[in-house]
Amino acid sequence: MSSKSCPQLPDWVAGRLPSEEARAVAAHVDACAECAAEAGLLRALFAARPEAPRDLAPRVSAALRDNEPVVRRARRVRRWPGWAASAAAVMVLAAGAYWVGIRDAPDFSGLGQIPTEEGSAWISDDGIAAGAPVMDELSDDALLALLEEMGG
Amino acid sequence: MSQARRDDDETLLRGARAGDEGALDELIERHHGAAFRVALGILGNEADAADAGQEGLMRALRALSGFRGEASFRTWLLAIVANEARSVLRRTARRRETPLYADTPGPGRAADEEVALSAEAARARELLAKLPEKQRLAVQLRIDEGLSFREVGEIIRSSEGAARVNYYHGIRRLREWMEK
Ligand SMILES: [Zn+2]
Repeated sequence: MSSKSCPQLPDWVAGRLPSEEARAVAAHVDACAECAAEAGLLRALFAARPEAPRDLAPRVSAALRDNEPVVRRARRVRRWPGWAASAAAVMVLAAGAYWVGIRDAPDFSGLGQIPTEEGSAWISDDGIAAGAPVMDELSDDALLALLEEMGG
Repeated sequence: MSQARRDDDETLLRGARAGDEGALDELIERHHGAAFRVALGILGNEADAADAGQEGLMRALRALSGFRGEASFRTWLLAIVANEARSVLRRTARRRETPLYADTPGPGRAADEEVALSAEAARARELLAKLPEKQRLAVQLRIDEGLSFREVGEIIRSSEGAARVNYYHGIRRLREWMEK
């Protein structure tokens, strides 16, 4: 027996319906063997739904709070000898290649603007601005400032 | 999802965008469970799911200005988490020969720890993990999170109709397996 109550089963089982609608679904389930069987399965699934680890929310909160703003102000740059700047460039390029290698560009459509590595730079755990484009177009000064930050 | 709750999210979003850390924390508190479950539904193990859930939540909450209100905030957030989990899955799949999901154990803890998890409930959840991904996510998002089929479609990247079909195929299969 098909009714407008049938599609509401998951919400009924999970206690998400206002009481009047819940009563209507309950009455239907009493009369509909199909829905009674499905409700049994849904009840089992819902009872065992997994919960996030306890530390997940605090971890997200702390990480959002502690990280510096995405766009960092340039620090005063020490004068480094030329060979150091070259070494710095190699290291920064290697870091950039690492990120390009492990971060896939997600394919997304239909939901409006979804943040991606390209769309919004963000700072990873080790302080590298992931998604920062084209490392080799940075000026020497910017490169040095970045390296200085990476080195702590 | 009720209208009241959606309105609450909007109020919190306004607060979070204005720099209210309490509002941001409340958004995290509200949605981290769903974020974890979505990631778990895709990745099949809790450690990876926690990492992908965290990464997705952080990415979304750092980019609140990108949320235009075309979907519900939760759907938008969960789509970002799902995206993150899929990219983790692609990376790990390249490292491993065997499919990730096949024989990994089902999820662990019961939502309500006061009630001992019945064997039937645990078994239902183990079987859920064996469904094809779209069926698994459709069933999971509909029962665990109460998403509409349109919202489910936005996360599994399908039409509303296909989300509904995936849900009912998944339910039918689970009922067959449970009866065995
Ligand atoms: Zn029915």
